[in-house]
Amino acid sequence: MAALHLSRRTVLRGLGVSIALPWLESIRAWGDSTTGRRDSDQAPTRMAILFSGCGFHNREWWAKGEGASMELGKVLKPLDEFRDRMTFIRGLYNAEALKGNIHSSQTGNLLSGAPLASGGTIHSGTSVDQVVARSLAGQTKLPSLVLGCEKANPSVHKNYSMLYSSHISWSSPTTPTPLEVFPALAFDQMFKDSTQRGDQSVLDAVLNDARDFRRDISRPDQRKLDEYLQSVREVEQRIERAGTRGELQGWRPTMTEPNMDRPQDGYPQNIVEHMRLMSDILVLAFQTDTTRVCTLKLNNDHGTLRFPHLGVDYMIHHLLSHNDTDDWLKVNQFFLEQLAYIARRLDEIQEGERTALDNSMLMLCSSMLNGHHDATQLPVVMLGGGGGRIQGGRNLDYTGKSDRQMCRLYLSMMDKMEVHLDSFGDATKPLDEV
Amino acid sequence: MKAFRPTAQKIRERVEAFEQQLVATEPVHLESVIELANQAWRRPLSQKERQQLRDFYRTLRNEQFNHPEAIRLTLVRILTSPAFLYHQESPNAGHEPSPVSNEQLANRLSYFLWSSLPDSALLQTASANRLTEDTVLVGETRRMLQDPRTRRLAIHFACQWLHVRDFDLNIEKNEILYPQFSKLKSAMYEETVRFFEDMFRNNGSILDLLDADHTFLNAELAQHYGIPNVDGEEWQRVDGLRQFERGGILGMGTFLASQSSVSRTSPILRGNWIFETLLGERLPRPPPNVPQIPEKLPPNLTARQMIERHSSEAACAKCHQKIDPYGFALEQFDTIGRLRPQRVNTTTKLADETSIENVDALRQYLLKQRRGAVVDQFCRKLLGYALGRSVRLSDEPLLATINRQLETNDCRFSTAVELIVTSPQFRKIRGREFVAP
Repeated sequence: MAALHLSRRTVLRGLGVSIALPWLESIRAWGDSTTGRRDSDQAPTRMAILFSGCGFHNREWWAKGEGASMELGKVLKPLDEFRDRMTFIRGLYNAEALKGNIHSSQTGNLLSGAPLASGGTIHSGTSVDQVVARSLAGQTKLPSLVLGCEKANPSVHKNYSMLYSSHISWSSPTTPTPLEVFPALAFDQMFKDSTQRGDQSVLDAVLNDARDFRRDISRPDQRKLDEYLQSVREVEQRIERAGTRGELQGWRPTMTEPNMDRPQDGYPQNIVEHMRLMSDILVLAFQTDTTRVCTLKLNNDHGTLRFPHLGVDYMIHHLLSHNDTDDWLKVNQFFLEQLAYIARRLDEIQEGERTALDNSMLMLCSSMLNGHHDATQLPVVMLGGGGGRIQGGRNLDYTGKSDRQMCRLYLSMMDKMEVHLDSFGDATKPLDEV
Repeated sequence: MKAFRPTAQKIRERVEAFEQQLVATEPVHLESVIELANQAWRRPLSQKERQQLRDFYRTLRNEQFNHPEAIRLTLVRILTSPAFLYHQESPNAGHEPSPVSNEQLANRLSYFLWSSLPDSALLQTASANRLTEDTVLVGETRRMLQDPRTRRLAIHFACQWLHVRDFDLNIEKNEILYPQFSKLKSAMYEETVRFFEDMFRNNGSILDLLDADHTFLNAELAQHYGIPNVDGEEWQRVDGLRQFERGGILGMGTFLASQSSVSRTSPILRGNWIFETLLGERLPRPPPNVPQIPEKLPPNLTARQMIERHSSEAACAKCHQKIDPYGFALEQFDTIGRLRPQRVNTTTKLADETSIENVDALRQYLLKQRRGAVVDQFCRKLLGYALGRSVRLSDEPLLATINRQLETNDCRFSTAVELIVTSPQFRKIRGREFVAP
């Protein structure tokens, strides 16, 4: 019998400190990064990744032509006004996602391309947002913001943990990044520093406990305990950063205090309000330069959201996805409207000659092309100028080409964030066209 | 105002008395929190640890935290400690395994049977250093199994093994075709939990898994199952199920609905569940690019006919003939576990050429021809659950003993549990320097 069992996942929220316990041994993030910093009187580039599980309407996810005359399938209609600043990408895929089972094993490694462990084990890879976050750490108050509009599901589906379906962002291979689904708490992460008072004392004490504890256990168990220590240190760093701005040099964000009220406590009762609040928080985070990296999981893969406001209350999102009906299309469009809303809001923020949208790179993707679990190609659409480095109005098709790894796109995106890696996941070169 | 003066004085005095009382109770609160740490860390705290917690609180007070804040942070400190989050067991130096301590054994036992911390009776036995005695250990096991907390064993072990844990949260059906399902699913889940809770607490036969003649129902679920004379919202034991084609897991809504598609039954899923989950066999995963079987049945085809078509290709048939026939025998039950009003074709031939005509024949087949495999699978899963690790080759002798003893003990549940908790696997820990071969 193993001497040390990992206890239940433990996020002791509500008492103030939250520590995400890792699941198994951590290994270093893949690759080494060399970060070059840009001259900082320019507004920085921001990266947001939006996720929607279960794919999209099979016949209505398409784009034809390029530039302002690009034609869009009905799912993409909400993006009409952004056609000249949009990059539509077909044909990329994640080879590891084809190896496991459906849903859970198609999501937990979506942003890393890493192999996933099945059974009771949790092991994925550090996701692209967290690689960038780590590399930019210290430049902004929060290294990243990880938001969601559906709670994580802790059960098991077809031998894979549903944690995989609920977490696109991973801060280490064994640690899904703590996901914020409460708008008020996301807001507090950004602007409320006083709650952290006293937490340092707690951390000092538990670190002492852990050191005592460590002396007395076997070596494999020591490794597990080290993951605990790592989590504690991450909280410690968060506390250290609290109350300090990033090291601003030259450039100043257009706003430093929030221009929205703190959202109400609790879990939003309707999905329209939930997505709107999380989108506002994302925009606010970029506008105030609280962070430059954000993931927004609009729902879980294999998710259970319902959409009464669309008159689609008879089936959950996941079950709707199995048939290309008009109701499925309506739900898809509702998701794309979130991306359009964020883009529109960012475009209203003038940062020098460019807008915040010009300085951002928004990417929306799913774990599969459509509700038939087809992950041989992934739906991807990008908006924004990436700080003048993304041309927009492009329509890229990698179908049938070799080297069409999704991780190549991540290498491209990281380049634009000044994070240059030789390889990431299963890719060794960025996409030339992006 | 004058009239109020005497009253105001009294009020002031009462306020002061109350405030004094508040201050006086502060140490009491702190000691209660320290008592809680004993429970949270699942062992008696040392004097040093108690003092450290008091010091922790005192330091916070000196840093201008008020009493409630300092208490809250002390709780945070207790609940984020590795002593709370991990089960701590101390191995001996060297390579050889050694028995775990009485307290650690109490924890193992309590987390196995109750998924929670030991109660005071168990802790007392442990602190008297008596739990390591065989008869005491078995006695405590029997006592604990009868406790209502054994319900958690039903949920965490039985339901998890059978893939129906959190059935009520995770299973969804097409609500246009099955509008009643969402209201029924918590009752279905409750039935399964109660069934196993009863088996574990009352030392039932493991074989009841297949051929029980009883279950637990309320009126709503009984009506769904087509079982008359069950009234009211109360849960009740109902006997004589077999005349209604129910009995055991094969007649339960949890199994039947969870192993169905959203809008139709799936003999493949049900059959594969019997093959892999119940019998412990393993099929290779289907090859990629297998055509998706449509959710909506084509006109004039039953689920069975559609699947027979799908599985008839030689390459597919090799595996499907091992699982599909089990599912065909269950086709009288619809997607949400109702008996279909019309009789459908449930006769089929299993891979070993046995002909069976319906669910009851399937039960008898599993119970007689495949009894060894079913019992062995139950024991394997229970052993793995008890040890918190997967079963290894070195566990085979223990499993053989359990299987043998069950044959002569009417397959009583307690036989398996008692052999597990008295095994070296359960009572020992590897040496600190042990390296896996």
